[in-house]
Amino acid sequence: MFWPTLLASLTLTAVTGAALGAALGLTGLLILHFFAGGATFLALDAVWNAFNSFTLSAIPLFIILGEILLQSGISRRVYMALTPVFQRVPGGLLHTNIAVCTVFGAVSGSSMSTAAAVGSVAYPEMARLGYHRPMVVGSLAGGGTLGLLIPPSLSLLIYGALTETSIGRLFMAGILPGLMMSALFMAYIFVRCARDRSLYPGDGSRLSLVSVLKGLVPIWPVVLLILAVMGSIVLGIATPTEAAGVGVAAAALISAIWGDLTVKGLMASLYRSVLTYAAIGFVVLGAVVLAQSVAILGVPQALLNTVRQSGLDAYSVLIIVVAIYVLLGCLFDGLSLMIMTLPIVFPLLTGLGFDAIWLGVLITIMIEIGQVTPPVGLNLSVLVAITEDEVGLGRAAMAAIPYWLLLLLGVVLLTLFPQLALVLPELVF
Amino acid sequence: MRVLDAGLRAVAAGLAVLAAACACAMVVLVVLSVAMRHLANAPFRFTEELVGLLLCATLFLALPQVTLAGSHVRVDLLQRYLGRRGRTVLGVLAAAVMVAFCLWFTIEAMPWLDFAFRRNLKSEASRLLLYPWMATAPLSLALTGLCAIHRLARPTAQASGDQADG
Repeated sequence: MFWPTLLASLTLTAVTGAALGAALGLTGLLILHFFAGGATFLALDAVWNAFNSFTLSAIPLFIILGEILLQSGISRRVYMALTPVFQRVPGGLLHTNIAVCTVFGAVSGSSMSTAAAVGSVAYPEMARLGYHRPMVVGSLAGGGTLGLLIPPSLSLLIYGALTETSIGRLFMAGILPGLMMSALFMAYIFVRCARDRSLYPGDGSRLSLVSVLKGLVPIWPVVLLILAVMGSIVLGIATPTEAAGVGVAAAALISAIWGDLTVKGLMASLYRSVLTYAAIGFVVLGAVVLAQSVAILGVPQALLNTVRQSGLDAYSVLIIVVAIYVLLGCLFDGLSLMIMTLPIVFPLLTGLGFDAIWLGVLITIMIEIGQVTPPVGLNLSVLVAITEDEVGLGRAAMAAIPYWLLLLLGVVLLTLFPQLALVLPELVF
Repeated sequence: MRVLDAGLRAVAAGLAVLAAACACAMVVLVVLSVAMRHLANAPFRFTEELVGLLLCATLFLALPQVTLAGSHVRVDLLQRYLGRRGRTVLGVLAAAVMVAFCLWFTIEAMPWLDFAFRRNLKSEASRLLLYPWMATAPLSLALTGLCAIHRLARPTAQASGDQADG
């Protein structure tokens, strides 16, 4: 009776279009009331303890950091600096999109912010130059997903906080897979554009290597910010929350001196960040109530026992989980999907022997797939809005299919070679 | 009705500004704490505790405004394929889910808050009274429930303010 109640309640409350946090939380309260002897009071303690967390405090701080950079126009400067680097390569600025998303992903922490920041700079210019518009949108949608994988990543941060896994290790683990995905995206663009030259305009100008390198010099403050935030976590100088706090102060300083950040802009960033955090936080709140209800009933352990008795091996279970994530990615946004599935997926897969750090990176790639899967695909929606419907959702989705497949390839590669995620944390910690 | 509308909006916006101030305080506190530890070798012993409390307050204070603006993460797939009447029915159900959760949570929170108030519970390191912080939860959720009802009563606000994520 438990499973039908859980699934029916979740489905019925969520499809109404109610706030997802309320749907999850109400389901959790119903389960606590009817299946745990009316122990609904546990929900309060669970929520209070979850949010009274220094680690979780890094979430709003990283959101503020990304918002400040977005507000200050720094993404435009980084884009301009990286523009000449790929001018001789087939695909030109399409590679720049991926490279800038990789750099911006390293400071913004959010997939949608990355797609929005780079897209708003890149799309108008590339459309003007005659690039194939759906191809531009595809590269931005795919590149935007790097924001969730390359640290500091909101996804890895929330995963670490909710599962009590080392966030420093998770951040380190995200670097190589992030760079791998970036390289895969660029390789695809290279092959596609080398075969079909109508996708991008030829650029007659040729800059010397020295000029290109000189052009990169002005982005040192951003590089310094990335190194400061990541370095302080990796070297154990600061916790992720402290690194995020200092990162916010540094970003505000850099943006004021080097960008166009005003006091009004700073206040607006702060206000918007708080609302974004509250929207994400409400999902976490609901998921915490649900997690408390399934945990007190011993559901994850029972599920693990059932799976063990069924004779399914760990990799078969993993394939089923990946399929479920891909399917649910069509309906839920990435972070919400992760938050609501973690209470069951984490104990199940770690119980089957998968490494918690590796799993964090794998889940992040899986939820990134959802970011470019219609009809929800947030990156697609943001970019369609940026193009002012010049590229509709359907065309954008078609253009994003190769990146969708490459992300799936990333899941396969990470499963075949877990060291891709584990080598750096093992080296550093 | 207009007075109620303006009042609710003003309260929600005011609380959101307070939430932004809490977030700002978190940044300042964290930066000062790091500076004190590394420069003066005298770390604040209350930073982690206070930042945790500020995190809670930030979330709860901003929730009514998020609800009023329709910025919650939602699954709006079914809504997209329904006609006007269908969307209205679904909107009522969505508001009912939100109100039910907020109401239930608020009712559960009252004895929890009452206990902290009667016992004058304080935080471990900084000895801060906890009930003012804890009070943000039931107050915010009660107000959030009201905001959900208010949005339902003002379909124009609902149509223009929606920013569904899912």
